[in-house]
Amino acid sequence: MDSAEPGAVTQILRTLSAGDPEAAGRLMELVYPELRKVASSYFQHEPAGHMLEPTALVHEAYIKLVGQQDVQWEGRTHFFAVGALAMRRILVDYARQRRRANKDLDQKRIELKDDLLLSHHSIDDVLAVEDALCKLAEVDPQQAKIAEMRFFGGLTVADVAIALKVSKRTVEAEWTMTKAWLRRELGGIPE
Amino acid sequence: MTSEFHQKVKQVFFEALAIEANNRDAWLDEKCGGDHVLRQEIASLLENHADSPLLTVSQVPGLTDSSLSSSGRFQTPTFVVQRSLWERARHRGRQCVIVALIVSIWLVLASTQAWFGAGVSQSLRDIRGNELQSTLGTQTASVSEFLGFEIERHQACLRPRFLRATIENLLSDTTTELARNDIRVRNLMYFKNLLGNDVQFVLLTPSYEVAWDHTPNGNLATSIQQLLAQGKTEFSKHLAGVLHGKPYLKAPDSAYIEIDPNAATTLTLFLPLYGTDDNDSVTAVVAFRSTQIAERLAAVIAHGRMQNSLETYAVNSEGWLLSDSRFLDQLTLIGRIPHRARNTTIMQLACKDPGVDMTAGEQPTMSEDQWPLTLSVHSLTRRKSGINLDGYRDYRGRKVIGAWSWIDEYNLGLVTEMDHKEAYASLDKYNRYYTFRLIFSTVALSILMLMLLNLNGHWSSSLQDATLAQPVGENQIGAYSILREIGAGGMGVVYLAQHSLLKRNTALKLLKPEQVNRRTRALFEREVQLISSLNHPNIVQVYDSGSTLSGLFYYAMEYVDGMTLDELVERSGVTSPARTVHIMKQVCGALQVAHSKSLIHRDIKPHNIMICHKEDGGDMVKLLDFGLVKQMNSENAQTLTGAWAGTPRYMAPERFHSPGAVDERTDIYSVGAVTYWLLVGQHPAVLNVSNSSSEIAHPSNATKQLIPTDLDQLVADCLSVIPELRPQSTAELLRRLGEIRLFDEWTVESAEQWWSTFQSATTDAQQVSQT
Repeated sequence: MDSAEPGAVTQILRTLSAGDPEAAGRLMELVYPELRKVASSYFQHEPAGHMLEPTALVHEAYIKLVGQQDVQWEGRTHFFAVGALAMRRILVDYARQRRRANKDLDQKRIELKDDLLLSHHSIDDVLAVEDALCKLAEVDPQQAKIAEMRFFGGLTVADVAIALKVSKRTVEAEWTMTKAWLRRELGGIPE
Repeated sequence: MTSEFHQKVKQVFFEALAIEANNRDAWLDEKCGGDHVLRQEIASLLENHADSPLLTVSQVPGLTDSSLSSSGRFQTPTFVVQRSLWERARHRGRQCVIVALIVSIWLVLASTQAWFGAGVSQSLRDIRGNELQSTLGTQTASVSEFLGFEIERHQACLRPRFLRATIENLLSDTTTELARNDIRVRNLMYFKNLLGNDVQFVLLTPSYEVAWDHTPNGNLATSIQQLLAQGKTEFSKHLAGVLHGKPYLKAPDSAYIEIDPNAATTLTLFLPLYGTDDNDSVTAVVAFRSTQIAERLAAVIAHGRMQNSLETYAVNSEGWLLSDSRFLDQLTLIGRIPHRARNTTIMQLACKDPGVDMTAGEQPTMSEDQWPLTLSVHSLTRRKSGINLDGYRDYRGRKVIGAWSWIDEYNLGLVTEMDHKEAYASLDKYNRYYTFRLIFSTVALSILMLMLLNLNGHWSSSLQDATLAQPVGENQIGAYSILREIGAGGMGVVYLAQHSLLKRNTALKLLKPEQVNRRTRALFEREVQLISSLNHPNIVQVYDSGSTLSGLFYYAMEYVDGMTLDELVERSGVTSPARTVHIMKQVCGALQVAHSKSLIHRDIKPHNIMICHKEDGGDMVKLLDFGLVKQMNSENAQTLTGAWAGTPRYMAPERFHSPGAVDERTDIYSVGAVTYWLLVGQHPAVLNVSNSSSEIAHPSNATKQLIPTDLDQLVADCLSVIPELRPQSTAELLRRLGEIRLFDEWTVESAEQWWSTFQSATTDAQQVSQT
């Protein structure tokens, strides 16, 4: 797949800020492949001892797509918001893949390699978060979205407020409860 | 769980949060009424509610700048558990080693003692054996010599020619009775002269007829006849042997005594008398019966007694005592010998084993005729010599050790015996002592072992509890008790901990064990060293660093109870210029110290700067997290996270295209960005390459706040894309900060007022390392 034209994303971001509803979808179309590329190259050259860093990947994708062009604050936020969703998808897929792969791997080999061990944990974490978010989305989509953006996109409360077009106070409040809910939900992870 | 329910829960949850914690439960009960499900839900959420941010899956060092980014694991770090299993095993292993060591020492001691004791006992046995045998040998020699002498003496009497001739005549049929008498008289005188007045003898022809009987009562002759009449016995055999020239010493035996009780204290010598021809044929047998010899024999034996406890005695072929027992009195007392007519034991006692120790007063259960012979004497009756050092009962029933030999020539046996107890007295003592020592050492060693194990237990609990998979609150690392986790980053986790003695709150940063290799350790150590080399009130102080026995590396820092600049703005909105300047002056002051040591922070961002309430009033700013600090001059300086070190949003743009080229101005850019954040409430857009960034870089364009021009320009200058256009040093920055003409002042009062509003809302999760 060809990379998006330089400037295309920037354009979309601008229209997004202006209020174009379809822009989000188009943005996703452009962001997702780019992000996948970034992610796969990262996964391949994953350095030992590192954790998966979704926000770094999103940022990298941003630089590749938007580069150094002039984008307004809000535009960037939208990018990251979309990127968060994309990142989530990619990460979860990857995690599922890795888990399946790990199951076939010789138990011994898993124990020997340090980074595998680490990845093993983060795979569980990723999938656990994914499950929790899905569950949350069923009862409160907005809280789930907030969580998604913060986890996978690294957005601040302010960013989220902009992305969702709600007040910061709302985001803060929702996040407070979401935190408690998620913490409880994820507390059952073994180990 | 439906969404309606969830919304209801949400509502109640928020209301509950507004209620003071103490009254919460009561309020909840009232609010929920009978709805237990709701109550439970709220309660569990409240339990999980904390002001600290939720932990996330991943963390990009510096990329995210919100309270979210204090990331790490979801619950108590798993790495702790993994270590614990090994730790436990290692610890238990150590215990086992100690126990094994002690047990083996004890075994060695015990076995050496036993071996040694065995050696001692063996040598004692040998000594005793030697004693017995040498005594026996000596006695045997004495007896043999004595008896031999007597036989020779008597034999000598029979040697003179005239005697032999006269006896021949005596025995000849042609000699007249008168002549015979004459011979008798003359020879008797001769014998009396040589052998004493009380000599008794009998002369026998080769066919055992009595030719001359010189005994008081003719008993000897009768006895001989009667003994011969018993047929082919030992006696007849021996007698026949005399005819062939072999002298025969006859000791009394039961058969003999039966015939003649007086014979008990005698010994009879049967000697050959040779003829005068040259054929050496035996013409007669002379039997000398002598009490003297018997008595003298007993004396010889008695004379040989060397020690108190050694007893030698002679027995006949039946096992009767032929000598005096020194235990005569004792034997009479215990009823072992019949109340005697004679003052001797000779032929009074059969050496039989009563089965019990009569000297101890024990009474035998069987009658004497049922008793077996003693071990030694029994062997002698079979003409076998021997020795026994283990112990057996003598004729008194007392345990003895002994040696015995059969003197075939004289048809008697000698026994040398020694009291067993006395023989092994020293060994007995040694054994008792040994047993005592064994018991003592066992007890001592087991006490020691218990103590050591206990101590081990103590050590483990105080130093190694970090390894137990328990709720964080019970963890202990070094002298620090961990209270709770306050955040984590790529390289380590940060906990709120308390020093066990000082009770001071500290922030404990732990390096994750699975990331520990030489490189990360070196980096970690470098980080610690760098930070501790910086001494400035606005730089968070490092108190301590070390590693636990389980291999966890940590350092303990000043715990800052405040909020990051992130939170500051998020909570209370943009900061007034006056306060901003106040804050940034402190930041620059801290930075100046670092720069003076050629250390570039590289990760200055609102999340890395904390503000807390000074106890004597006012704002105190603390610069955190020197994890990314790079020594400008060091060539092999690396960072853990490579190219993306630093937060892009606050990162100087030149770092994107040339990550290695950092200097003070890189930090200055970030300082500008933070100032921007404080004033505007947003971070400056990054990645501006174009020079005409004046629009964006000026905070006044982005906020409604009134910003003094000096400050506005200063920020813009700091945010200049071209490093040369920025203030070139922190000194310059500080100078310019000082020159700003502010609209109002940020006083201590202002600070106090602010803090009183926001104090209660501080979270502690800010003190987080992001690398």
